[in-house]
Amino acid sequence: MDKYIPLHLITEILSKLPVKSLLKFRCVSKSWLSVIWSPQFIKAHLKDHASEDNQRLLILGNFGSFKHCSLKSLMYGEPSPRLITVDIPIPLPDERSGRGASSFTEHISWYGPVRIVGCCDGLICISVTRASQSDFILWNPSIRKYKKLPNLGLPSTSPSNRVWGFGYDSFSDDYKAVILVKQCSINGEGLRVETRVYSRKSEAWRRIADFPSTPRYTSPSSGVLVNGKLHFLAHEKVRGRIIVSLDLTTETYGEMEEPNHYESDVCVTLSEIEGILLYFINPFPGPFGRGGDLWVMKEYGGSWTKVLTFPHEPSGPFCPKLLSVSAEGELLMRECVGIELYSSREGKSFRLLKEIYNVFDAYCFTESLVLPSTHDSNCNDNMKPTKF
Amino acid sequence: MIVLNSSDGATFEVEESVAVQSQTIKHMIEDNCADTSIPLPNVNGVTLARVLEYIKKHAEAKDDEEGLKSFDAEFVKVDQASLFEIILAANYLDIKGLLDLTCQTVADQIKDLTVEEVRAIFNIMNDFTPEEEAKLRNDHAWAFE
Repeated sequence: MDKYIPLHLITEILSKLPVKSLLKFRCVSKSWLSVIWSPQFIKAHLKDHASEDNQRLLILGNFGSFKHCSLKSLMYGEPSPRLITVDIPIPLPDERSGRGASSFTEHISWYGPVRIVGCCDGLICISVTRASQSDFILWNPSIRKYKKLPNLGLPSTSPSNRVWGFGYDSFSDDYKAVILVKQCSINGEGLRVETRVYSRKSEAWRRIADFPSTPRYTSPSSGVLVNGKLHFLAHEKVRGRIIVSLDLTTETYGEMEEPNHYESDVCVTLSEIEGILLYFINPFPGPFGRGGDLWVMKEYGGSWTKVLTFPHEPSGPFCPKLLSVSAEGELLMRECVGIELYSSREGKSFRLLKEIYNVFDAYCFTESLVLPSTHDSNCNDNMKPTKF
Repeated sequence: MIVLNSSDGATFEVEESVAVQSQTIKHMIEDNCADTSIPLPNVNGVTLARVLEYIKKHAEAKDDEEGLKSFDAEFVKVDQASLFEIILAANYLDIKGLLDLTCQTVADQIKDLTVEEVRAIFNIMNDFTPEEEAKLRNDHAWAFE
């Protein structure tokens, strides 16, 4: 091969490679190593892999089992595409105590002790609860590196009542985790909600201004990232139900109205698809309460538009998290019984991935090289998990 | 019509509306460097012919997504040396679509190769010590399986 390809063109080729190949090719030479591990390359690689073809669906099932599959295969044909299992990087608390009701804090739910705080650019922030505390981990399963976050010392309330979120602050080029902690005021002022923020750059938790209302808990309850802000369902003393946003760059709060005024709200969920905020409400009470309205905020900060009414039928959605939309307008969503694809043309949902029942949480996910810490030496390798 | 001269003296005529898919040629025309013909000393005749084939097809069949996809798939079925020549030409002529296509093709060809095979293809010297290389391989041993 007598033609010499300059490094900047090799970089163009490399940014189109899958993560596994890049980890291998770090060994080719010193210049390839320094390209592949450079922050600019990691970003360019992320951008090159942002297309629909590379999107994957990440599913959290029972007892901290994570699986992922190609989103495109799932939505456009294969009802059961190949699932890849990823092992959680740290040891889980004893499964047996999770199943029984041996203690209040361990009988969290039959889903077990693992929760997803959020997922962004191939990084997953998860919480693992044991006995009296929750531990938080920043994890990139594609490169099998993780970092345990410093202890927050949260009070030992059930993690089922946690509200939190994870996202990217583009201004500071930083990834941040946010936890909302309910505190009862000592001088009897009543409920206060403290907000703690972890930043990947500082590798520390900070307290910022208190959350201005009371967050509403839904299951699962992560803030939805749109436009660099995390969005939470909340309840304000005077105005009632609102959506509160937290700007990850300025770390200030904003508010927005919920669409319409519904009499009851059996189930409300916020979701995000392709950078757009979605609001679903199922206003039908009772065990057969299914169906509802889907609203979309087409322009961020603008008004809500109702785009779909699901049929009020036993097969209708109950409390879905919307994940993706196909070219034909079919909606992929996560219900707690499984992953479903809703066709508005036919007015019904189809179960996908039938071999997985009990989907506790699901996210759209891309493989990336993004490190859980800006200092590589601070990341632990999945292969030798540290003892908690 | 624009006249292009390759490094080895071959001459090609192409419509200006087609030629401006190359940002390099577009700027040369705008800067009035294209009076008689445009010299391209970095691209040989064979490669320039291929590049022109690409931009002509992409100009005339602009809206035929399926047709372009199958054209592109056939277009990259060349030997690796030629593919590398096209990459260098696409970079020099600043034709983004062609650069993306050819780089993606090479990426797909090398992704499952071994480190040694990749070094051979790009003519790269291994400048790690055996200990350094062993440590790197060990760090992500699972990626080598």
